Amino acid sequence: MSNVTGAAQGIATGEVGGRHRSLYRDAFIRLLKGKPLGVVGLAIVLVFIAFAVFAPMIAPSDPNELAAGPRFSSPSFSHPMGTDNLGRDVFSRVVWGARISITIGMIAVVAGTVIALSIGLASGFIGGWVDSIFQRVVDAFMAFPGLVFILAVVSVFHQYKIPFLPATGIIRTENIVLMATIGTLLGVGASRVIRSNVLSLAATTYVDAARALGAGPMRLMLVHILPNILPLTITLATLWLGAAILLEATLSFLGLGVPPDVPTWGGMLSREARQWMDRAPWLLISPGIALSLAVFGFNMLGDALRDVLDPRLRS
Amino acid sequence: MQRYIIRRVVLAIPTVFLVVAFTFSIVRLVPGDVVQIMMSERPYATAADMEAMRRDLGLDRPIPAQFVSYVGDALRGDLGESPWTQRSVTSEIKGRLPITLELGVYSVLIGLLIAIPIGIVAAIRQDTMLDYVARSFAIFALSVPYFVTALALVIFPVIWFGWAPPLKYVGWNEGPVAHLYFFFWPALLLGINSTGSVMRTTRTMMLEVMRQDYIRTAESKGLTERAVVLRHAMKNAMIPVVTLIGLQVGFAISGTLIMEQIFNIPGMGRYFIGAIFSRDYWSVQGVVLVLAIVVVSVNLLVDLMYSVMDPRIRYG
Repeated sequence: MSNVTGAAQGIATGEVGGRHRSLYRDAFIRLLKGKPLGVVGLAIVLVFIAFAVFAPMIAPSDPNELAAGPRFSSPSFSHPMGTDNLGRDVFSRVVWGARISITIGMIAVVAGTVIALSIGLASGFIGGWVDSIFQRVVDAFMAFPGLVFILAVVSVFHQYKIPFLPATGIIRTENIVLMATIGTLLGVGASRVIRSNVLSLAATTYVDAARALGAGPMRLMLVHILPNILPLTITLATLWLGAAILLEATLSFLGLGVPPDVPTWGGMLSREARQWMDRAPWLLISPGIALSLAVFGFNMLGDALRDVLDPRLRS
Repeated sequence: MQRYIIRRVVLAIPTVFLVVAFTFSIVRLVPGDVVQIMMSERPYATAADMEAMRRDLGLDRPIPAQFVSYVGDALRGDLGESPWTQRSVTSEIKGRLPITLELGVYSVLIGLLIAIPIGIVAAIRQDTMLDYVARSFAIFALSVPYFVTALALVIFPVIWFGWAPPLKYVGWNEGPVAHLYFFFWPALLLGINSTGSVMRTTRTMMLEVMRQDYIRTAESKGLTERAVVLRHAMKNAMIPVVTLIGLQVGFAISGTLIMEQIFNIPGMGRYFIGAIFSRDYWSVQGVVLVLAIVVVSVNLLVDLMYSVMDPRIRYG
């Protein structure tokens, strides 16, 4: 009896929110204590985020400054990753590359999450013909190998500039197209996972109870189901961030991603850069390792988050 | 069973329809006037030239009529003609698709050949050093992009040992051994990159199967570990791995597009990227359609195979 009143008081004083927060705090502590590989992933991710946020302070010179040093100087104390064919400092370019990769990755993942949650919730909760239509569209979507879909969309917009966007900087046409396409690809693909999770949650007794208390469909979805698919969503978003960074790098590698005047890891590996690599192999090593490490970090962190955030796997 | 096959095939129809609708839209959704964009590098083109080109490409007709003739032509295997080279997109693809598919098949096979044994060993030696090494390898293989390993392979051995992988395509008729060797490196690197998911699934399924009663029975009969694993456990553990093959094929096709750039392979990827840069939307459209149809068919086949392989599953 005292338990019931306790819970009622908890609800009255808004402690339910507090308990939610402690779920995530618990998960975080479990991650630190029991998942050494996850901690390594987290550390790598934090380093790259620091690179991205503090790029102007960390990079010794402007990433596009020509003749920041002699051309093709091998890694040395003044240029820890060497310089390229135009004398640009490779370390500065790798640091700024982190900013572009993570910005584009994060925006793409936010877009993807919104898409995955909208389709997943609508399809799983409303069901019926809405579900059927969404699922057929998702089917068709999955028929395209990821890169083929992105290339198809990029080919359409390749020569086009969205009129009201600036011609330089992060929110120019090429980047917007890239973020929207990567986001769509990840979001639609993952909506299946969200949908099946919503389906199983919608069949639970506590949702029935809330419905019996008179909660409308919007309230059921947003207050009762959404918070419970959040752990899964966080896990997926972490794994996607690695995937989004990889996709952006692949596109830039092909010369169809971020425009060439912006330093990106993929761009540093593209056709134009490749012709110098037998002369200056460090031009491959630094961006290659940065890219691999970033993807590795997000994968490890995502894997560990899956273990600590999924209550079914808890021992 | 028969009903399931029919149902599965019927369900693929809306998918194919949407795929065709998407590829049809590629050319028509280009913002602005596609003919003007295509001509923008040819300033000598007059308005009359553009009108003629529009008529040539059938863009002057109403959209529904265009769609009907697009579907009709596609069904007859006619994917149009490149307005630049005047060559039929179908014949361009015919020469290149086999090369891409060949690389894709080799990379999937190599991936499975590496992933399945490692997954099995990791499972039967769970939580030993071998298991940890295998799992770290899987995560590592998943994280290092194949175009980085491919570039490293093309660049470093030359500097260090004066050796390079073959970078000039060798046709089958120029010698089967040289032909296969040409594909070996790109297929190996792609295969290694794809091992992660298959290895993990194999390991998880083996762990699950090895805990079952019939395995204990087999062990207590006095069978060797080898016989138990290979003859009893593997048969059941491999079934879910089969479903992954569909995914692997999609992944391999994306991968071949990239590998073709690095190893100079004259397949769909080089054609595709070249078409994007030269604003040849008709070729882009054709490539996208053909690759999507390949993936839909493979997935359909895998689904059907799955239902044949696992008699425990009854489909309604």
